[in-house]
Amino acid sequence: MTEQTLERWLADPNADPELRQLLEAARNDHPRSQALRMAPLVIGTLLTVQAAAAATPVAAGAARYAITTAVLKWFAGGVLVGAAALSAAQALEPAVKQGEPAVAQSAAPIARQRPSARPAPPAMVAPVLVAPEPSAAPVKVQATRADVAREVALLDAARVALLHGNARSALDALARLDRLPARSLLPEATVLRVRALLALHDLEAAHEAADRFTAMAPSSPQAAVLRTLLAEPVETKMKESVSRDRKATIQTEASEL
Amino acid sequence: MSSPTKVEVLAFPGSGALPAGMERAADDTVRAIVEREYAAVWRFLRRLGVPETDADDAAQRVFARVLAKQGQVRPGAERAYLMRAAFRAALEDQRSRQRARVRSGGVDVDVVVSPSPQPDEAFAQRQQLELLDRALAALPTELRAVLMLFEIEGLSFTEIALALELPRGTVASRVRRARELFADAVRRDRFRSAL
Repeated sequence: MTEQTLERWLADPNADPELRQLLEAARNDHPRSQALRMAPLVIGTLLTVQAAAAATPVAAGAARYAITTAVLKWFAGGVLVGAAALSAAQALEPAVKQGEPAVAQSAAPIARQRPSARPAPPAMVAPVLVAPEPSAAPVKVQATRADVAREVALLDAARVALLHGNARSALDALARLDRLPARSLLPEATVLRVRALLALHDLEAAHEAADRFTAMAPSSPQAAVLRTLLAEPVETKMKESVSRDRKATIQTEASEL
Repeated sequence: MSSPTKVEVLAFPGSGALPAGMERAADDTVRAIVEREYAAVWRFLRRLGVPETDADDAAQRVFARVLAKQGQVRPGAERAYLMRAAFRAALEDQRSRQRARVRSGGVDVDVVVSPSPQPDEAFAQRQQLELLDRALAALPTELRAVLMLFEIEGLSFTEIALALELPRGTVASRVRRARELFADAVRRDRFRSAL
């Protein structure tokens, strides 16, 4: 039997109509339109994170974590802001209400205008609100896929460093993050920074970072997380938080094997 | 020093390691492949039993896996390689689901979850899909895959052979066998429903 002598049922008028109908139903089945729209961005980010993992040892652990948690969850939670809320949600679940509009935290501004030397391509971009100066009204700039991917990789490097008890490395990664031109994950970075500072018992700096953020986005889920983190004894909170994250990482990695 | 590979180009869009034009071309290649093939990969995963809730994650992983090795994929054969990765992903998913079922005492959560109410047309489509999936479940995974790739996705025998790592001659006999089993399963299902 060859392909020439075997006509596909869907193209064969003599095929059983009932079977054709079923095959039609299969052919008409398709992913959600949001998933279709976001697929190139998410897959491009996965590729970037994978490559980052191959390039640097710190990013390697981060990338595994990123692939299985933050990046993929963008789909479920409404794309980029979902990623922003992710770390905080993991740190203190009760503080983050499901279904709460995730606009406030993504609008938290600090970054500067992206340099114009390398204009962002028109496609594969996500809008980010930034305020170049405190007095200026927030303006919309485009974070490219590469920007977002770098931000995710650095955040995960910070998270992995924190998981391994290396708060100083976590702060280094966050400092590199501060130098990025466009920021869409500032709330998550702030929560990580405060956790790292708490781990170093630098309460003053932790309060300062938290206050700066909560002044900008007082009703955001991350602000609630920060208030809770700072309200409880440092040792207890850090131990619980790190232990929960470790458990999640181990489960994630085990499920990948 | 070796020149940057295709994988590096794809992996570091915007890194500045390459001329911007080349990086944009690589981005465009990824985008074009994803846009062209995503729905097909997703459908294939679904018909191989990956639940709707997991199908997007699985499809994204499939693309990331294949596109990371794009330099090794023969141009024009992307779909076959994607389907190969999807087939493996579906098998892995089946195995992990099997383990989960054993752990949960035989209860498959995907089966007991009832779908939310649908508008009429969508409801009819869902019913058709449920019947289709019940019939497909009667086929071994390998035959299900052959049937879907041939009948729904329109792959050639050569592409199916590449995707499922089979001799080309075996594809034809499997398509025939899959059709027989599928038609029998649909007839049995209809008969049971009529009782």
